[in-house]
Amino acid sequence: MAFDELIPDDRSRRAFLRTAGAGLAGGSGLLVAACGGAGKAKTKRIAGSEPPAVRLADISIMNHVLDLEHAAVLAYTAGIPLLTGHGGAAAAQFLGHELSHVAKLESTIRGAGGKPNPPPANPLSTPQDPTQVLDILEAAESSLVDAYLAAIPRLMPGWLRAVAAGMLASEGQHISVLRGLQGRRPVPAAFVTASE
Amino acid sequence: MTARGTTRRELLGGGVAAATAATATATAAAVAGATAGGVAASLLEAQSASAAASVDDVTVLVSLLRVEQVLVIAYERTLANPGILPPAAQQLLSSFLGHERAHVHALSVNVAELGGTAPTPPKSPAAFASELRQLRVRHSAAGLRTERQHVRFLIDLETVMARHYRYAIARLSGARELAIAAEIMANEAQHETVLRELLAPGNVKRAVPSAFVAGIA
Repeated sequence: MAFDELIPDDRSRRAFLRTAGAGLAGGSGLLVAACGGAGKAKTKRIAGSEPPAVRLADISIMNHVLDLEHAAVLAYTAGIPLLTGHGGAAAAQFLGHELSHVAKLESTIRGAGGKPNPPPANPLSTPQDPTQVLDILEAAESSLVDAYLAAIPRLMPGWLRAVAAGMLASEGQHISVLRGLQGRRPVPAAFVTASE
Repeated sequence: MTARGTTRRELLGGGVAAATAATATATAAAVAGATAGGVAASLLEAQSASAAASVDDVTVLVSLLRVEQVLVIAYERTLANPGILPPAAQQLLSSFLGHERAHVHALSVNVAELGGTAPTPPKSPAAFASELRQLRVRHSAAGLRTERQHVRFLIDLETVMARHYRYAIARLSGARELAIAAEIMANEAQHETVLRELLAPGNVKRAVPSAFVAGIA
């Protein structure tokens, strides 16, 4: 993925730079900054010689998240037949999102020379009624939020953190709707954490 | 904020305290080891070595703070118009204003701990309008009258906010700063979803239109 995908148009980049003030550097400086990451641990670079490269550690982190995305896909697939109306429409929409996340993670892992983990054969639990479905889906989404929150400070290339943040925020939105479907406050806290 | 979130931040806060202590130790060592002619150079070296990772983080956090301050004012202005919003929406937006204030507080504390200075929020309508122009918000704040106009305006701002956080997360280097930015970005995305539901109740495709939150309207 190109760095430009972070902020896909020049207008947006300029807006950020304006609010950041004149102290920020230009394009090359930004690129270097984006390559600097939080995680200082290991590893050798395995894809390409030009930064920002994905590391072996990043692939391992992404595969962990991928496992949870697979589980969420299975949970939605098992639960959708038991949902009707707005709940069914929301779950179908969110299943599409999770499949997109799976595809993005798999392509990123492959692009970095890694091997994506395969999906499990069966869902971990089989819901019996709509209430159980919503409970299971919210639990699956919370696990994903937890995984992305843990992953983001550890991923090295800045662009990869931005991709993960985009998916984290998507899971947060799903949780809001799922909570609303259960008659609960959709946004209970100022900071999205898995324990919401 | 949940108990879990607080715990995480407390832990991360401990990390910052440890880093600060390490900085003080490094500075003391530099002073102790310096020759008479090299004190200034050694101090400079110690300071830059410890602060290099956070200088850019402060700049990024300050830019986020500026947008959060604008968002706080936007919510305050909407809520200051009695009768525009139905009670349920008024209650919802009041809670979102509380969230935005919590974000400002968290970012301000973080900036201060890194040695930076929080920006002053816009003090006048003209300054507020100027910030909005710089952020390229699609809808103008002037002439907002109906619930839909106000909500649309807030959606625009939440979208801008998500874009800034996504960009910031690519640039930040500190683990603590990244964690806070990620938690807030997801919260802003939730606000956007609920605001969209106010405009189109029951339409999940409009409430959560994309699998990837990029902050692009």
